[in-house]
Amino acid sequence: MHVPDGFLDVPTSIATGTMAAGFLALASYRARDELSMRGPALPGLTAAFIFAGQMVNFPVGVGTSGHLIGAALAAALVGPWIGTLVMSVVVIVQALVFADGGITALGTNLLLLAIIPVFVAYGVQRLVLRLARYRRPAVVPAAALAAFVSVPVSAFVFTGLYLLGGAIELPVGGLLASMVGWHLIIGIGEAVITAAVLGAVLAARPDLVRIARPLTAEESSQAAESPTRASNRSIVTVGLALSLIVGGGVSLLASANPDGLEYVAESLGFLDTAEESVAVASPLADYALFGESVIGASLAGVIGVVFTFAVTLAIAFALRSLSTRASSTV
Amino acid sequence: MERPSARETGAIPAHPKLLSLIVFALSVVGVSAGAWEALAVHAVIVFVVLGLARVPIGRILRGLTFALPFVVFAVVTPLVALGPRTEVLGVSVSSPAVDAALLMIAKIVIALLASIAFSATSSAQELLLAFDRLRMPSTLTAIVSFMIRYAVIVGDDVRRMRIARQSRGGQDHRVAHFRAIASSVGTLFIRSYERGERVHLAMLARAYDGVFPAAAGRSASAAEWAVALSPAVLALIVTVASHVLGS
Repeated sequence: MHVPDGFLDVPTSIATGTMAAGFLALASYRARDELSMRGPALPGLTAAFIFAGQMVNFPVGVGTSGHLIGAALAAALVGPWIGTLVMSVVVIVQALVFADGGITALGTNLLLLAIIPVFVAYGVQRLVLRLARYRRPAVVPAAALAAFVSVPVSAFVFTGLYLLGGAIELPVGGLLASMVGWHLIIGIGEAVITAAVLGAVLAARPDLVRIARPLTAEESSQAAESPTRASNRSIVTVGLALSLIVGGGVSLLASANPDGLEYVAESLGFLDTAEESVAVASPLADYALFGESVIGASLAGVIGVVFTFAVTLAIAFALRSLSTRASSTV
Repeated sequence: MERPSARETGAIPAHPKLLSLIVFALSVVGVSAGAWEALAVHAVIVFVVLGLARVPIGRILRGLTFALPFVVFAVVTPLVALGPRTEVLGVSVSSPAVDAALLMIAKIVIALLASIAFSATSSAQELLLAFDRLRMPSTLTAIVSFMIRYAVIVGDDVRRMRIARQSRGGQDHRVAHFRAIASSVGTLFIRSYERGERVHLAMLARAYDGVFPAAAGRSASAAEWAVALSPAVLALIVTVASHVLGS
């Protein structure tokens, strides 16, 4: 399910777009060695596989069928960086060739369907494999758990984005519960399908499954990459600064006629008279503290950027410490 | 994968159209609450474009189904949204949410129609040339091009595998067939991956050195830019005007 145009407001869309572009640049940078060595045909074919694989209907019982989303599978098969590129390409083609997913929502869809789930899934896979001391039978359960977790995490981030840039104010708890609850069910389907498909690949060509490769070779190559860490950090810093400027600046422009802000303030005004204000728990309620001002509007944009960036950054750091610790134990 | 390229707009290279789509969609999304006149003008613009491009009605309707889950979402939200309550058809709903939901549905549909107009008039090949013209990172463009080129072939693999499965085990609608379907998808990955390896080796054999030969896309003339951008510029003016007049 791809977010269409008009679902989230302009500042949120531009913030997620900037962030997605930054992460795609980072992924291309980190994948450059593999891309130059093995060429663009492999990730292209992998993207075609994910795209075609999403069309296959799996009978999941009670007369219904589900289909693969593929982020966790891509992370397990080709790793996080190429996996991100592959899933992003699928999302881009779906938006531009098939009009599935909005053009202003492209950044949002890239974050929700390509970047966040691939990294969450890869993080979970590595964590589980580490806990299982990299035993071969743990690979499929690790991928299944990763697939299960990655779906509701995306739903969680979507809820956050909706609270920041959605048009209709909803009770936070209810929205979160229904979004995450529903996606827990979808996550189960994704986990079962991912496990079955990955099991089939492992049975025939275990060498093609990235997370199941003997860890020695991969870890030593990662150790060799460590000098690039400093430059990566500066890329991240620049990306964050840019996102903040764009997120804040665009909201500032938008606040010349702050329809979203006016709307929130209006509904919060109404809420003050209501006996029980659910929105006090809402992060949106904080914006009202700053009044209907230019600062308030920019702050909304900046908070939007920081929120999504924090989520992705936390994952990135968890991954990094995980991989360095893993390399020291092996 | 090959799109039926409509005559008038289809003749224009895709990069001005893609820019136009981005500006148009931003203009639609940027309309503030209550500015229905602006959205009405946007709707007229997008219908004129769809008409001029002679996009088949079936394709438009098929494309619109992508918006369905979100339209359902917008219809349901007034029931649970915050704010003062009002009665619509005997059901208690949040009154500011009703307006916001209608606005959201209108924006989603108009912007989606614009996306349909773009995708119906631009072939995948034209899209790749547009990426090149718009200075997309070349690695990403290369991956997109391989995906588009091989999506049909991999899709055919899926169909052949389904036929093979069904000829052995009957219709695969039952849970009992889950494992068979999963292993055929696993096989699909292996085949795709091996095909990718062969393609890369074939490219190396033909002196591929990491750089793609420049794509032979033609630039757009000033007149074509003007034609392609006119809907977007008009939409942008309308949105900006509605903000200025509305405040």
